[in-house]
Amino acid sequence: MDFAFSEEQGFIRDTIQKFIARECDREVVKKLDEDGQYPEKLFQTIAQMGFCGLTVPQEYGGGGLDSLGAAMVTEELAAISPVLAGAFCATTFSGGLVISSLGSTDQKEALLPEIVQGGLCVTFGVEEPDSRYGSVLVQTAAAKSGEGFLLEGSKSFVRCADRADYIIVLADTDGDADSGDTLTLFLVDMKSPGVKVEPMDKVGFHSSSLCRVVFEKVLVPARSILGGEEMFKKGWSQLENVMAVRHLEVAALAVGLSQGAYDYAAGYAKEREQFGQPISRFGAVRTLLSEMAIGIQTGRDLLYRACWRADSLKGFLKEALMARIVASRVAQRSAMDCMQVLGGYGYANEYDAQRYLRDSMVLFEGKISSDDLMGSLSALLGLDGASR
Amino acid sequence: MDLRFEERQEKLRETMRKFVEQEIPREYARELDEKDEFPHHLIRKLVDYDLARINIPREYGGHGGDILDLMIIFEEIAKRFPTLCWSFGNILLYGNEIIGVNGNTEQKEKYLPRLAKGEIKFSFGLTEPDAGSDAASIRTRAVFEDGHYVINGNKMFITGAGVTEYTITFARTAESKYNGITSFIVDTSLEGYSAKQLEKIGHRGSNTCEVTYENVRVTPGDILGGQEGLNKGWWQEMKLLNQERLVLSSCALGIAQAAFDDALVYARAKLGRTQDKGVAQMIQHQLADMASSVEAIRYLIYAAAWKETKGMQPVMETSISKYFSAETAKKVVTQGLDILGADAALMEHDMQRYLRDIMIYSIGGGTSEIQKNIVAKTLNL
Ligand SMILES: Cc1cc2nc3c(=O)[nH]c(=O)nc-3n(C[C@H](O)[C@H](O)[C@H](O)COP(=O)(O)OP(=O)(O)OC[C@H]3O[C@@H](n4cnc5c(N)ncnc54)[C@H](O)[C@@H]3O)c2cc1C
Repeated sequence: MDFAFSEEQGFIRDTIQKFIARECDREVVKKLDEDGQYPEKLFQTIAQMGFCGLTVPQEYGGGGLDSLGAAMVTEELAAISPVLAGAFCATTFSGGLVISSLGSTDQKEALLPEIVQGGLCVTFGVEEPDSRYGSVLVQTAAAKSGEGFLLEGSKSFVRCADRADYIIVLADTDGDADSGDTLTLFLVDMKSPGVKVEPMDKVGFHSSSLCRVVFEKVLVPARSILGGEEMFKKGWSQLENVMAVRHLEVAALAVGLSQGAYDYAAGYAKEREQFGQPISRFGAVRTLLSEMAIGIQTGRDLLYRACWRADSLKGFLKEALMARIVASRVAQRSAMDCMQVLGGYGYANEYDAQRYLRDSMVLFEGKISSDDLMGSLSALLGLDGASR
Repeated sequence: MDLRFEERQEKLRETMRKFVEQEIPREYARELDEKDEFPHHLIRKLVDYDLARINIPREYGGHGGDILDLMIIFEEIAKRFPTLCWSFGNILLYGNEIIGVNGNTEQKEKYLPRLAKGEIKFSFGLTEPDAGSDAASIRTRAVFEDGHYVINGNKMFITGAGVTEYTITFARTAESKYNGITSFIVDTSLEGYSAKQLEKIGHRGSNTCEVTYENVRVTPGDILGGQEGLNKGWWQEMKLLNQERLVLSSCALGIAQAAFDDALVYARAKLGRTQDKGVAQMIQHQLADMASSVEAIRYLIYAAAWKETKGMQPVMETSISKYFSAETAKKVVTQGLDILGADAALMEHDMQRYLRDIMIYSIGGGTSEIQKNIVAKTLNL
C-alpha cells in the first residue's frame, strides 16, 4: 500500500494553490457572489494552465487519466469558490471523464481536444421535475424520426445549462415498455432548435446557474447517442458510469467546501479573543474544529480511493457514492459549525461563513436526498432484496 | 400532574394562528425576507389585535400576562416569519419586559402606556464589536459631566437599533467589570447616535445594526431604574435572562415545527412515488425522528417556562432549553433539507430560509457553548 501522490499530482496541487493565492482571493469571490457573475476569466486561466485535460487520454491531447488530479484541483478551487470548482467539474468530469469512457470514437475525436482547451462545458440532464433517478419514471421521450430522434420533455437541476455546449440527456426510447433497457443517453448540442433554458432561483452558488431545460421537438441525429448508434437502448448500463462520475464531482466539491470552511473558521478562532484569550483555546471551539477536521479527512480519503479506482479502470460507483454521502454530510456540518465558531459575525454577509452555508445547500444538486442515496447504496450492497 | 394549557392560553394560540394565516401568507413572508425591510406594517397589525399590552402589569393598563403568553405568541409567529418575533420583541421584550422589571415608577408611567399602543419600541444595546460572549467586557463609556452622562462607544448586532425610538444602552460608569456597568434609556433621536443596518443571511428585516455613540448626552433620570440603577446594569440584565432564553427557545420551536410540517407534506408526496418499501421506511423514520425532536423541544421549554411562572428561578432549566432547542431545531431543519433533497435549496421552497433563520439561535442571546458553561457551573463542575 502506498498513499504517496505522484510527482505530477504534487505539482498540480502546488500550481493551483499558487493560482488561487495570485488571482482568486476572498474579495474577488465575494464580489462574484454578490453580483451573481460567472467567473469566466478565472476559468479561462485555469484552462490555460492545462488542467482541463486531466481526465482525457493522451491520444486526444490530454494528460492521461488522472481523475485524482482533477479531484484535487476541484477541491482546492471549491475551498475558495465552489462555483469556479463547479465550472471545472463540468469540463473535466461531466465532459472529459464521461466522454473518454463512454463516447464513440467520433465523439471523442470531435470533443475531447476542445475539452482539453477548456472550451467546452458539458452538463447532465438526468432528473426530471416529477421523477427520481433510479425509478423508471423517465418522461423525457425520444421518438424515432427519419434519420434521428425527436426529443420531448424536460430536465431539472441542470447545472450551468445556460452556458453549456452539450447536455447528456437520459431519454425513453421506447414509448410503452417500462423496463430499464428502453433508455438511451444522448449527447445533445445545446444550440439545437427547441432547447429552452430556465434558470431556477436558489439560495447559493449565486454566480452560476441551476436550470430547468425544456426540449420541444428537438431533432437529435442518431450519431448523437452517447457511444454511438450501437448504444441505442443501452442507457441504463451507461448511467452507472455517469452517476459514478457525478458522485465523484459532488464529493470533490463537498470536501473542498468543507476544507474552505474549516480554514476560515480556524483562522478566525486563532484571532478572535473573548475572556482575554483566543477562542481557539476553549474546549468547545477546539472540539468543533477537530470534529470538522476528522470529517474532512474521512471524506477526502473516500474520495481519493474512489478516484484511484476510477484511474485504475476498476468500477467505482459504490466508492464514489459512499464518498459523496460522507462528504456532503461533512460539508453541511462544516458550514454550520464554521458559522458557530464565528458567532454573530458568522451571520453577517460581510463574512464568508454565510456563503459557505448557502453554497452547501446547493451541493445536493440533482433531485437527490439522503434516502435516494442510501437507497442506491443499500442496493449496491445487495440489501434491497432484488437478485442481481 | 397536568400538562394542558389553560383555556385562556389556548385561545391566545388560536388568535395567533388566525393572525398568521390572515396577515402573513407564505408568499408575503418570502417577499419580506427578500426585501430585508423592518415589518412596521405587521407590528401595527399586532398592536391592533391588542397584543402589545399582553405582558404589561394590570396597574399600568396591561393584561398582566406572563412568559407562557409570550412564548405562545412567538412560537406561532416563528412558524411563518421569525423576523417578526424579534421586531415584536422590540416592544414585548426590550420594552415592556425591561421597563416592567427594572424601570422605576416614573419610567413605567412614562413608557408602558406608549408601548402598549405601539407608539414606541425599544432595542437592547449590550454587545460590542469586541464584547460578545464576554459581554461584561464592554468599553462604551458614560462619563458624568455638567449634570449629564456623555456616552461614547460602539455597539454591534443591535436588533432594531435603526427603527426603535429608544435603546437600552449598557455603558461603563466604573472600572469594576460587573459592578461598573449602567444601563441607560437612550432616545435614538439624540444627537450623536447613529445606526447602520447590517446585511445578514437570516432574520432579514430585523434591522440588526452597528451603532455609534458620539457624545450622546442623557440625564441621570435616564438611568434604568433611576439613580439607584447606577452601576447595576449587569444585575438588571441578569434578571431578564430567563425570559430571553425562553422566548428564543419558543422561536426555535416554531421554526422546527414549520420545517417538520413542510417536510411532512413533501414526504407524503414522495412516499406516493416510492416503490421500494425499504426506502419508504427510511423516509418514514426520518419523519418520526423529526417528530420526536419537536416534541422533546416543546415539553422541555414549556416545562422550564412553567417553573419560571411559579417563581422557581429555573436558571439551569432555561439554559438547557435555549441550548437544546437551538441545537435540536438545527438538526430538525437539516433533516428537512434532506427530505427535500435538491429542492431544499430553491427559493420556491421555505426550507432554505428555515436553515438561514434557525442558525442564529445557537449564537444570539448567549451561544450554545455559553449555555453549556452555565449548565456546567450549576452542576458545580
Ligand atoms: C442577528 C443578530 C442579532 C443580535 N441582536 C442583539 C441585540 O439585539 N442586542 C445585543 O446586545 N446583542 C445582539 N446580538 C449579539 C449576540 O448576542 C452575540 O453575537 C452573541 O452573544 C455572541 O457573541 P459574538 O458574536 O461576539 O461571538 P463570540 O463571543 O466571539 O463567540 C465566538 C465563538 O466562541 C465561542 N466562545 C466564546 N466564549 C466562549 C467560552 N467561554 N467557552 C466556550 N466557547 C466560547 C462561542 O460560543 C462562539 O462559538 C445579535 C447577534 C446577531 C447575529
